[in-house]
Order: sequence, then C-alpha cells, then structure tokens
Amino acid sequence: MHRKTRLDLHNNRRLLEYGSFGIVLGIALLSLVRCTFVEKALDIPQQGQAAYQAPSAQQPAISSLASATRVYLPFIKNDKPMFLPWVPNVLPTPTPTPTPTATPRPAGEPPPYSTSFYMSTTDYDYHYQLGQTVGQSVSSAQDLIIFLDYGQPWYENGAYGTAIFGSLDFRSTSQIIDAVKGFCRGYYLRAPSTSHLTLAIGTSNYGSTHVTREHGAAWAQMVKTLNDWIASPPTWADRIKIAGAIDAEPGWNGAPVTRAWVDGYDSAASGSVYYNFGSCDSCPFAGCETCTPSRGWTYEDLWYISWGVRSAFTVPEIYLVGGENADQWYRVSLYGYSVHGQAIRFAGVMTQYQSCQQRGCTTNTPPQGWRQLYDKVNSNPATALDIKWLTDIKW
Amino acid sequence: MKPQNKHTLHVVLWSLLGFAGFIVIAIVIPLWIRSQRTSSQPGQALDAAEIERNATKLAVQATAEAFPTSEIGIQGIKPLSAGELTVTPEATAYAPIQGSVQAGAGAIVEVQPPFPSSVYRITNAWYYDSEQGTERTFVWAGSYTRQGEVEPGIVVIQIYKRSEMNQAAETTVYDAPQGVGALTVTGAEGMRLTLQSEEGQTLYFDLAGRQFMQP
Repeated sequence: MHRKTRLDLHNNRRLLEYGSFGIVLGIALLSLVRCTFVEKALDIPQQGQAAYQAPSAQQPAISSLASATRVYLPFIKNDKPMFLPWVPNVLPTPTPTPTPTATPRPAGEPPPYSTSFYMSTTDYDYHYQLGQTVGQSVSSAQDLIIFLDYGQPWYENGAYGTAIFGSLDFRSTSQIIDAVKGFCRGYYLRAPSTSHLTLAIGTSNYGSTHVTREHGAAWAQMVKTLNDWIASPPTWADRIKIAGAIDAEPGWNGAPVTRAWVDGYDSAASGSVYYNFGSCDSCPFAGCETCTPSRGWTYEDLWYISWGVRSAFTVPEIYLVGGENADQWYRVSLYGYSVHGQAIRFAGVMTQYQSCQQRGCTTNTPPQGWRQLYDKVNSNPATALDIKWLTDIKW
Repeated sequence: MKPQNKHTLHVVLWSLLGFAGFIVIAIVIPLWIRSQRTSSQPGQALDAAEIERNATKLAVQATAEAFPTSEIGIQGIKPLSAGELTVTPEATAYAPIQGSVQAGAGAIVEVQPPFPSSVYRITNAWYYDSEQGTERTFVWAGSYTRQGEVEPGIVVIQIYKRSEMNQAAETTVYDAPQGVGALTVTGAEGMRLTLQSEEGQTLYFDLAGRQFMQP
C-alpha cells in the first residue's frame, strides 16, 4: 500500500509541479488585474472622505475623450471596478486635507451654504454692516467661502480696478481693499471665533480692453495686501483668509485673453490663490454632445484657468436645473484626469438661487446644485471627491 | 535524497518560479511599459514636470484651505488704516460710463451684464440717466441662452437707483417677436431703440411704451 502511494506520487509528480505553477500563475494574473487599479490609483489623489460609487449605467459617452484616455497595462482594460481580497499596500499616503473643527459632515450630504454678493458699491459702512450680517449668520466652527464680486476689470487714471455692478462706476483696487477691510471688521466682530472664512474677491473676464495680464497681477497684489493686513498684529489669520476670484465665462471673452489674466495673477500671487467661479457655457453635455464652448475655448483652456495654473482653484457655477452645468464641469475634470493625470478637485459649488429670487429666473437651489456636481463627479472614480463648500450668490 | 524530499523541493522551486513570474508580469513589465510610454508618447503620458505639478497642486490646495491655530499671536481689533479713515462717500449722481457712445436720449455700452451667460447671452446695452442722475435705466439686448437650440432674442430693462446702493429696482424681460434671434442695439432716436437681429432683421423697441414696434 505504501509503495503504491509512492508510485502514484512519483508518476504524477510533474502534474503536481505544473499544477502548483498554474495556481501561482493564476494568482499572479489575478493580482495583475488588481494592479491596474493600483496603477490608476497612483494617478488619482485619493481624498480622505472621497465618496465612491460604481459608474452609472447612464453615464454619458465621452467619445471626445476616448483618444486621450490612457490604458496603463497591456491586454487588460477595466471598464468596471473590481474588488479583490488582497490589495498590495503601495498606494501613496494621501495628503491630509485640513478639515474644519465642526462636526464632520456626513458623506454625501451638502454643507450649509453661505451667501455671496454681487457688489454695486465700495461704501465702507455698507461693507462693515454686510460683514456683521454675514458674521451673525455663521454657525460655530463653520468653514465657509464667500465671494464678493466687484464686476468687470477696468483701468482708469493709471489705476487698476473694476466697473462695479449697477452704476458701472470705476473702483480702484485701493478702494476695494478699504471696502473689504470694512467687511472683515464687521465679520470678525460677529462671527464665532471658531469659524473659518475664505473671502474671495472677484472680478470677471468680461470686456474687450481691460482683461489683461497686468490687471491679473494687480488683482493678485490686492489680495496679497489684504492677506498681509489680515496677518498683521493683532492677527486674524486663524479666522479669515483672502483669495482672488474670477467669473470666467467663455461667452464673455476669448481664451487667450483670459489665460493672460490668470497668468498675470499667478505671476504675482505669492501664495494667494484664486477661485474661478465661472461657467462652461456651451460646453458639451449629455443632451448636446455636439455643443462646443463659446468663442473657440477648448477643454484645455477651461482646465488651465480652473486648475492647471498653480494658484487656480474652482467653485463652478451649477445653475441649470437639468444638470447641464454639472455635466459640463464633470467633463472638464475628466479631461484633466485623462490628459494631465489629475482631475479637478472642485473646492465648492456656486448657485444663484437668491439672485433668481430677486430678479426672476429658474435655477438650482444650493443643495440641488451641490448634489448635481457631487453625484456627477462621484459617478466616476477618476473624478470622485468630496466638495467642501457651497455658496449662493445674490445682489 | 529521498524521492519525497526531491518532490517537495521541485514543488517549492516551481512555486518560487511562479512567484517570480508574478513579480515580472504584475510589476516589472507594467512599470517598464509605463516608463517607455512616458518617454515615447509625451502627448499621452505624464512627464516628470506634470507629475511634480500635480503633487504641488495638492499641496497648494491644502495650504490654501488650511487655517493656523488660534495660538499664533495677539488677537483683537486692528487699528484703522489710513485708507479706512479717509473713505470717499459714494457720489449722489451717476457718472457717464467710460467708452459709451451717445445714441438718442442715452448711450450704447458694452459692459458686463448683471446676468450669467448661462441664462442670457447679452450682446450690448443702451442706458440713460434720469431724476437728476440718481436713476439709471439699462436696456440690455441679446438672447436667452438655449444650449444646443436656437436662441430667441430679448431685451431686458433694469432700473437702478443711486439711493439704494445701485441695486436694481426693476428687472423686466421682453421677448422679441417669434423667430428673431439674438439682438444688438445699433442706435436710438429719443427713447426708441434700433436693434439688429443676428439674422439681419431690423427691429425697434419703444422704451416709453415698453414694446417692440413695426418700422
């Protein structure tokens, strides 16, 4: 009996050997499939609370991006996510995103929205009172962004500034600085000491003459001046931060002009970032695959001014109730991932519900706008992220 | 060596060989292919500068959104700066808009409309001041924004009052006759505006009567 066993074992030895090899090879191939995701993950900065959802069956085709989509490994193409029990621990440690000290927001839930303002004055008292009003409405430990939009770039009497809304009077950056200081004073007095405000001082890319590289640099210098003032003793830097902002809309000006402005800003930014709170008007969306951005803009242009520039970040307008804006910006983000290896990490969402209540138009409520963009970008692991800010603009 | 031991050795060796194969197939080859792609297809893959830019970008965002702790210095009310002490009050009357072209009782301007381009695509505007310059009326010309569709022409009338911090006291939209696309103000006679559609039609808008008129 013993001999028979040995004989069987001897006769089937090579079978066992190849069997072992086959099993190991199978594991290797299986791991290879998993490694594709590791490869992709190396290019997708994972955010701490980044939500993940499987791609939707209704996910629109991105035929225009097909040629740019990278496939990292030979003969393996992943259209669906796969989960395997063993994952090699080769993912980069994600950069910890500073989180507010407020009670953590449940994943997938919109944050409380702040109110941003189109500015038709640089009156100091008006700003001071506005700051107080805003400060009173802020809850303890809230982290919020507020845009003060001063209108289109302007240059007059040797000074850079804007033509404010309403009167279209010229206001220099010096006048805007003083007005913003008034806002900050009012806010500081009334807001909880644990709250964090990012105050984005906005202009736009509208106009045929004054949207220039020099204006962008002057805007950055204005932001720097305000941040220096905030940091000067007695410091408010733990509660207020000033950023630049531009409402860049393809329908308003050409891409080269707008790129010149953001390059100018970046050249003088000195660490002060800006937020693009513009649109992607006429960009393709699920209902119009053949749409093209206005004035010859390309995805590269939109990505560049919204994320590509070192100091550029984005709080896009998500206005249309049908989800068109969310789809348009999702595609810009996907372009960034496909071509530059990094999706746009939208810092927030801007809606105009209060503005439409004042002037009559149909638009998303703040939670609807946030939900549209959040769901859209999280329908694809390549663009998935949490969106921390939500603001609604009014007059 | 006993046959059993020899067999065990074979199994171990084959397994090690399989593992080595796994390492080569799963890690070495993909990394090699990627490095080749990086060097040979700069339009498709990330170059070193772009990888560095992506990493820097995340760091900049983290810094931009971070706030230092409150124990960073003395806090309190800042002293008023020179600019804040000498704030110029708003003028009581509107000043003419730089770059405007006189037309009829008002002037034509190309300025940023107070509407997002996702709602209205404004081409230009005509304005006039009244009430000793304390009230300003704008007539914005353009179209609705209908993405992927024909965009019907409109004019939007807004009235601003200086005393109300330039807030619009009224905003009213008037649709152009059916079939007319985006409009541009080309001239004015008194309070009657001449508008040109993108199809080349000439229309008139009577501001006093608030209606489009036949030529």
